[in-house]
Amino acid sequence: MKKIFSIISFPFVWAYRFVNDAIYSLKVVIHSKRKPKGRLEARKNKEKVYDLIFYSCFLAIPFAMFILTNIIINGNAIVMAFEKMEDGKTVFAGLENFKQIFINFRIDGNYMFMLKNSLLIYLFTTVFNSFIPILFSYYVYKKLFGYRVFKVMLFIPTILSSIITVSIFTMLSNEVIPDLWMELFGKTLHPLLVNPNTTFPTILTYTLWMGFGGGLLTQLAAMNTVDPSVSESAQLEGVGFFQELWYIVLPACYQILMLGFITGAGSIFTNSLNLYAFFGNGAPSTASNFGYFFQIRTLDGEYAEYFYLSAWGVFTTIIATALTLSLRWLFNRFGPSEDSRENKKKV
Amino acid sequence: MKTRKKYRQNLNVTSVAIFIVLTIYVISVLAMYLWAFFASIKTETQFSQDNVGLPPGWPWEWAWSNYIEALRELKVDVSLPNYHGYVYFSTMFWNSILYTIGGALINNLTIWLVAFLLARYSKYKLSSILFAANIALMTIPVINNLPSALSVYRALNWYDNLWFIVFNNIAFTGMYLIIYYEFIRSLGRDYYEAAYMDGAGRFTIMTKIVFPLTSSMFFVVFLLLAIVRWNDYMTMIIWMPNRPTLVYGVYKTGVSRMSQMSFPPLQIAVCMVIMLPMLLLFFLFQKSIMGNLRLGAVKG
Repeated sequence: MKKIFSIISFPFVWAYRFVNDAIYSLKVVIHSKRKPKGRLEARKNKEKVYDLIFYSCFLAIPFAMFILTNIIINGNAIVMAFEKMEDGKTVFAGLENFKQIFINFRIDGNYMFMLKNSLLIYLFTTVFNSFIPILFSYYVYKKLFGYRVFKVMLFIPTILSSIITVSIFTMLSNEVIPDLWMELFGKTLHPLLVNPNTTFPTILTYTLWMGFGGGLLTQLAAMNTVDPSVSESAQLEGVGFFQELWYIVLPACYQILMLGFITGAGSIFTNSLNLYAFFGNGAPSTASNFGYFFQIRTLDGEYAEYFYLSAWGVFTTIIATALTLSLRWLFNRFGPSEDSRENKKKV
Repeated sequence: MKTRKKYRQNLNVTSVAIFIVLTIYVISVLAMYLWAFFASIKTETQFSQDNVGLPPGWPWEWAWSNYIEALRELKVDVSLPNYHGYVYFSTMFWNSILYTIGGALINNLTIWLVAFLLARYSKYKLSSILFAANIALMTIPVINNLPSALSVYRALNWYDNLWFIVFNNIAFTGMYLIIYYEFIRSLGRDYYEAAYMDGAGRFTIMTKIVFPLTSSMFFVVFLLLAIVRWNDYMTMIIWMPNRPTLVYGVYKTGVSRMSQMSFPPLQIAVCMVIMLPMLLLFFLFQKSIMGNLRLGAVKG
């Protein structure tokens, strides 16, 4: 009986042993391929995860606001530039808004006038706030006689609100100066900001006058980045007032000095010359410029006009960006640099 | 002696000419503010008779009451969901404080925090992307996205809302990010490793190790941001026209020519009052505001 039972059960036992052995072999193979997890590695992986959680948690909100203010708003501006309002609904307008810009430029002389004023503002503010103050900021940088007083007095207009200086200046130019003119010369002078012929030059003069100190301080900050030991050794070599400015100070802070000139290219379309502070939405057309035009049309215009203004924004951004990058290339190409000085020495 | 020698060495026609021009400029600016001060303490009659000279009489006879009357008459017409009418000096002052201090603090904290994260965790690609984006945004001009911004903020119900002060100031792009970033990056890994060994966590390192090292820089940047916000009237005009600050009130008195504030001494008196906090702040913290942003106090 035993013999018969062993013969019958043999295949089942054989199958069971076969499967068991196969499973065991598989376990051995899997276990041998797995890397041994040390305590140090486990801790490192944990630290990486905690780092990521910490970084993500604290960056989440600022990053979300960055996306909103820079990606979503600017993206929406581009989308709006290709849309228009029709029967209370927003519809796709293609290039209609951009065509309207060119049509208006051709038929309405005000746009050319605004462009002329905007370019004049850029030219004057660049020359008066970037180039002319170089000598004056160098005087303060050298800490010559009275530099402390000059530094303080130049700084004060930058910390006071423009609306305050505008209010004071308005009264000076509309009431005090005409009265003084009458007393001194016996002739009538129309209030400078009321007379359309004198409005733009008066406001430009105000901007240059109040902006002079700020430009000077920016350049002073750039000059302060020059290593004092370089200046000292130059003075020991007998370098004079102008030589130090031309050969040492200007090349060392050239990039920072030119930054104002380069980034100011965008201000052609954004600098409103404080016209809103002076006149609200009632500035005379002789003083109008693109910065003011965008301000009043956005603040006082209808929602339907926002699409046309967005097209203007896209158009002027492209122009200003091209101008900025071109100026940057020009100044990098033809401005002073360490390499060009070394090449000249070799020659 | 050293100073006199330096002055003599640099004495030439150009430096004398520069000194004269700078003196004329400083005198012109000073004259404008002095004229404004003396004009603010004249009566209406005195101003119309002589708008240039000093007020007549002794100092105690001058019209100091102009300041009190100006603050009493300063008002802006607003239209809020639960209030229609005028808003006076006290409310405008509170709005100014909220916007100045709250806005500057939130903005400064955001810039500092992001600079810390970008500098400390530069291993993540997002850090380098955000830093490069900041440089790009500072260089490339974006013009007239105001219509789009107004549409988006109105849709989010942040327009003419105190939440605007919070959300608009959670922004980190600009020059100050670069200043904080460069300093925090210059701190060696030794600080962090020593702190880890002592059992400090990430938050502890951020708040108790790195932040104290940048505290003086933080304070100076806070002052500069606060000055900008105190003087900012355009943001109120565009985003919160019914929650006016003091400078917005000055703008309204000038532009709308409210009858009570139509005579110049009262308008100038309001300007003088608003100038005062900034001048006080400037003279108290002159060295911090005008000096280079010092890079903390790192020893060893």
